Order: sequence, then C-alpha cells, then structure tokens
Amino acid sequence: MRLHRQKNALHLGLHKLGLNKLGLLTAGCLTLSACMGTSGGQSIPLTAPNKDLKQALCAKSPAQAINLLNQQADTPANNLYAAIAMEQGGRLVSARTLYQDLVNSGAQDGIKLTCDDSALNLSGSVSTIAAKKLNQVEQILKQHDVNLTPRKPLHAGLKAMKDPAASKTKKTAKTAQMNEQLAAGLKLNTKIVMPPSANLSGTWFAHFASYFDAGKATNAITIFEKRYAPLKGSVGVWTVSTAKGTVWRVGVAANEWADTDRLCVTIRSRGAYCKVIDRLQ
Amino acid sequence: MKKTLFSALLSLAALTPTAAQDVNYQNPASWGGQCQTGQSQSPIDINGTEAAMTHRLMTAYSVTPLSMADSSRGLMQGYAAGSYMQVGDKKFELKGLVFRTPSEHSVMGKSFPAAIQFVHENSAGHKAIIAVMVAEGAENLAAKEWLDRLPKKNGRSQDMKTLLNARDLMPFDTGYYRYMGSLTTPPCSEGVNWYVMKTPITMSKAQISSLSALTKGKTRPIQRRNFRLIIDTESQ
Repeated sequence: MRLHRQKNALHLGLHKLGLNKLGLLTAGCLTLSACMGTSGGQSIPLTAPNKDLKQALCAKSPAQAINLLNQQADTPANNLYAAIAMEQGGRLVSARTLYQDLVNSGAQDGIKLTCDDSALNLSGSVSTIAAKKLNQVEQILKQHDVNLTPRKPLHAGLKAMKDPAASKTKKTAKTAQMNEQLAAGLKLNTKIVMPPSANLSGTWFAHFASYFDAGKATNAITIFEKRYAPLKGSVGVWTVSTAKGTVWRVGVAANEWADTDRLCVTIRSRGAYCKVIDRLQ
Repeated sequence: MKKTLFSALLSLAALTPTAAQDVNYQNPASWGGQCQTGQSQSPIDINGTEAAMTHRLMTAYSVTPLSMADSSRGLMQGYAAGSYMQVGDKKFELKGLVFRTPSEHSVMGKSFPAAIQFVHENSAGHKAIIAVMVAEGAENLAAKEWLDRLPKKNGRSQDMKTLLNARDLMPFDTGYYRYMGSLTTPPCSEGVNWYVMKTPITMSKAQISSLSALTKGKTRPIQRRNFRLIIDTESQ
C-alpha cells in the first residue's frame, strides 16, 4: 500500500513524473498555455489526473480513487490525489500524514483538478495545495479533539553520581547492590542509538557543533563519529548562509522530530551540547 | 430545588425532541426535517476508525436528586446545574441522562443491551453527548439505589432523598470514539459532538430488564455514516 510514503519516495517520484507529465497534459489540458500555474512567482505546467481518476475524485468515490492510484506511478501528484481520496473517505489522520510529507518535500509539480463541484477544484503546485489542505484537515481534527502537538519523550533525568553522604555512612550490601542496579538503569538512558528515521536529507537536525570552515567541519565529523560510534555514517554537514557568512553545521538529520529529540536528550545527559533544529524554518 | 430539577428535566427534553412532539419509534422513516435530509445523523455503527492522540475526556459531575420522566422519547433523568465535562479547552454542562435499551450506537456491528447517554450543552448552545454502553454482567451498585424508584410508564418520579451521581455511571477508562453526529430524536439537529465510550459499564440482567420495561424499542436505527471521520482516541 502506498499510503505512508517517505519523503525520499516522493523525491524519487519527481523524476518519474517527468516522463508521465506529457501524457497527462494531453489528457487533461487542451492547450499548454491553459495549463500553466504559478509557484513562487514562477510559471509551472499544470497536469490533470487521468479521466477515471478525475471522475472518482469529483464523484467523491474514495475507494475507487485509491484503487486507481495503486495502479499508477508513485509521484507527488498521485500522492496528493491519494491524500484527497483519503480525506474524502473520512481518513483524515492518514490524509494529514500524506499532506505533511508533501509539504515537507516541497514538490513543485503543478496539478489541476476541475470538477462540477467547485469546492473540489484545485490548481497549483503540489506542496502549495498540500499546505492548504493540511490546514483544513487540521482544523477538522482539532474540532474532533485531536491533540496535534507532537508527543515529547521524557527526558533522561539527572546523571548518576556518587552520593556525597555515602562515604560518611556505612552502606549495607543490599543497599549497595540496589544503588548499582539503579546506576546501571540510569546508564542505559545515556546509551547513544542511531535514530530509526536517520536520513541525511531529513527535516530535523540534531545539531552538535558549527564551524566557519569546511575542513574543520569535516574533521569534526570524524571526531563525533568516534565519540558517538553508533552514529557512524549518519553524522553529516548542513551548510547554512548566515549574516556572518557560511556556517557548516555538524550533526545528524532524521525524518522524525522525536528521533532527533531523543538523540539530543541522550547526548545532553552526557553533558555535551545538542539541539534539535527544524531545517525547513 | 424541586423547581430547579424540574426545569433541568424540561431543558433536557428541549435538547432531545420538542416537548409537544411524540416520537413514533414504530416508523422512524416518518420523522421529517433533518432526520430525513441530514447527512451527519446519529446513531452510527462505530467501525473503520482512525487512531489519534486526543485530549483527555474529564468529567466533574456532582450528585443530583432523582428526577426521572418517561415519555415516548425515552427515559430521562434531569441534572441540576454545576456538573461538567471537559475535553481540551471545550467545556459543556451536563443537562441530564437518557437511558436506551438496547444501545443506539453499535461497535463493529455489535450493539449492547443498554446505553446511557449523558447529554451536555455549552453556553453557545453546542451539544456534546457521551454514550456509555452497558454490558450484561455484575450488578451495578450505583444503579441499584435508584432502579427501584423508576417512574411508571409515561410517568414521573421524584425523590429528593435518592441521590444519583453520573460519575458512578461512567467507566473508569475514559477512552472514547469521537465523531460529529446529531440528536437521535426529532428534530435530529446536527453538529452534536459524540463521545462513545470504549469501555462499557455493567448491569445485571435484572437491572437491564428493569430499564428495558420502560425504554425498550425507543431507539433510533443505525444511520448512514457518509464517510464521516471517527477518531479512535489514545489519550496523551
């Protein structure tokens, strides 16, 4: 099932869409000039869904639309249509996830859907339409008491340290054993693990350090990969232009905020710096 | 106090059908207006839900004296002012309870021998109804106190000494199914916030029979879902 696609899949889909676009253009638009839209002030070609898919979406037949989409290429436009179909079918939570992925992907493919019911008419880039739809869906979910704030994992707590009073009092064997067990338990919380959604082009960035020199940043990758061995292969550089010039940020990127947050909590619990940054902001 | 409760009962009646209108449960298809034309009607079968993190359903119910009335619309218990439910930043005041046998809603096609609907309204006139399913099982001690004081058919029963607390008729686990629907009696007004509790409470067979003697058959059939969203809650 294609319903929970990752952003990577969406990016790959952009290339596939290029091949598909002309066929769709002839099916959906009479002239190319009539099928142009704008995105970020630039003109983009708009493609229409094929006849059957259009009919299913306009008739609000979500099951039929999803069936048709499952036989088609995995493209941002088709993902958007899938999200619309899911929304029509009352699957707003799933639709929200798809819209979010499309917004994050920044897909600029143009689409045009024209139905008799003007409320269903859509025109513009996939990510722009997805952003509007996302906003509408979130309003409905809020009405249904859905808590849209992401759940934050608990912090790691304070580090284990020697009890200053321990040297003054004689510990029994039992309490010493309990303390060891407790310390072992706390130690587990400081174990670095690779974020499950680690992705060098992920939206969320666990930031370790910044440099004004590319060479120093590259050296830092080696240092951090030694220090945090489980992260080997995932520590990367994110180049950012700032008022002070180009900055090379070193850290780990992931698709899920919770994954980067968990990593930073663990690193901070070891006394080191780590901050989660949204790369889209 | 008696007068207050009586007005609470009237206000509850106003939330369901109009007081003057008898409800013909023999032929629900004859109900006019939104009951026929509405697209978001209740009750529905709960299935195909979507799991989501939701705000916790909290109730602050206090006791109220027994004040029940039976009519063609069902068996109702009015509620004195000052009892509330809250979900996130939404707050509704409890207006009363409506007893149904069997339950109007079903879950995955399964209905329950009885259900209690907790009818609420906020200052803007928006309505919220909590439906608590009743399964046959252990005797319900809270219900035991008032079940032998039920009114006669089409009658009224008031006893200032018999206290009822809606809290005691709520399940301990407050997970719920959430959807937008309507009143289940004419005029079937839409825009009602429904909270169908996942966990049923129990009543003994004899207790359910006592309710059923008054309320059996006063349930609206399942309505079309029309692709409505049903949230399956996971409280944070």
